[in-house]
Amino acid sequence: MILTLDSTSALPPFEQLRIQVIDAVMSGRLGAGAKLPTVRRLAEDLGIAANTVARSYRELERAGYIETRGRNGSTVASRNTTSQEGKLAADTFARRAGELGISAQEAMALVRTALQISPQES
Amino acid sequence: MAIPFFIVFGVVLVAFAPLTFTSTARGRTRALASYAKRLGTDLVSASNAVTIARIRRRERAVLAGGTLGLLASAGAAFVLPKHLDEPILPMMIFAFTCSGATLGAASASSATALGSTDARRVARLTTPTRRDYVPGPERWGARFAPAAAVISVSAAAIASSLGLLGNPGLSLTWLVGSIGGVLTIASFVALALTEAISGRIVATAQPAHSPSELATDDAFKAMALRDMTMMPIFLGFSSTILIFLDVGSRTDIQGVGLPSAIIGFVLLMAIFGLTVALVTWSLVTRPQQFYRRRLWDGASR
Repeated sequence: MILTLDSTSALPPFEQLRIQVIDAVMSGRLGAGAKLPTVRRLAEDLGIAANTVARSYRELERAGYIETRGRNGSTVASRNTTSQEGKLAADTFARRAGELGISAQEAMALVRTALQISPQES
Repeated sequence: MAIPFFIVFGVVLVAFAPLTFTSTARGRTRALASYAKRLGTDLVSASNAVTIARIRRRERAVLAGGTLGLLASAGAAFVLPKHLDEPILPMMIFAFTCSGATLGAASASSATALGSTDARRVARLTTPTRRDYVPGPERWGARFAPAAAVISVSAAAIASSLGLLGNPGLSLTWLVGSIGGVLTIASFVALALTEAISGRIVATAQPAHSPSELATDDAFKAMALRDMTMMPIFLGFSSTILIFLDVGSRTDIQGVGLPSAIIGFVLLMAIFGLTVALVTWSLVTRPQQFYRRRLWDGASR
């Protein structure tokens, strides 16, 4: 599983990292219990600050994708139930909408469109 | 009598540095293609100055280490002139030269330098371990070879103390102080060094701009780790053979030492058979590309 970081991308490095890890976990390429590189090692490999990697790992842990056990490093968390994964997806969307400055009403409209639900049905 | 052996080993050493001794672009391309084929990575297409410099640095380290080993064996032969005409001399030169060469190659495993200025950077999301670079038989061989040498020394000492060799001069003290005994101790030192330094080599960061660069770095890392692992194997194997030859040449095979000599000969043949089997396995399984099968084949690049 190879991570790619593009310094010319509009997305900040910690976000690029976070998205790719989530994608790997959700697609099954990274299974539960898989050990992630240490913050320092990944930072050295990617040529970014250790704090950037640490931030990504914190966000991933907060969202429930990974678990950190101090000196034992970080591992991919066990797969959650469907409702928990749905909640995680909603949390991610809500946070991203906030970062992009999208209002709650606009965000709901986007969700309805994605789920193909008419305003009357929701 | 000894001079031809030193010349032969010197020439063999030079053959391990094709890129260093070539000055033409054609020769350079051919040497890189040979490396690429052996290691299973597209070094030729990524044949930038950084990669070539890295290979040359490794080759020079192999030459320096091997030459030091050759000189050390010459020094040992000078100190022990009575061994100059005995069959242990080629074995001794082999052990010293190979150990020096492998130590030199492993020491050349320095931090990587990026080959381009691409804005993209890649990294592996899982951390490889030594098991991903060095095949199991080699890792276990590095432990088995020194152990076999110790067992050989111990068995010879026990047989001698029981009077089974017909030569009371073959004491444990003599055995430990012999060339085979010294190399046995050296094999354990090499094993300790291998275990300690291998961890540092594995933990070295791998900055890369592309999967190809990362794979090339994996190839270099695998070479360094396997070179380190070969050191205790060479020393343990050489010391075992030297002990058998040394003890065998001093055993009273005309008298009480005959049964022990026969057993020793059978064991020696078994060791040769095992060596042939391992070399055959090596030729068939291409352990130089083990890292590629573990880390790249079947995985997304």
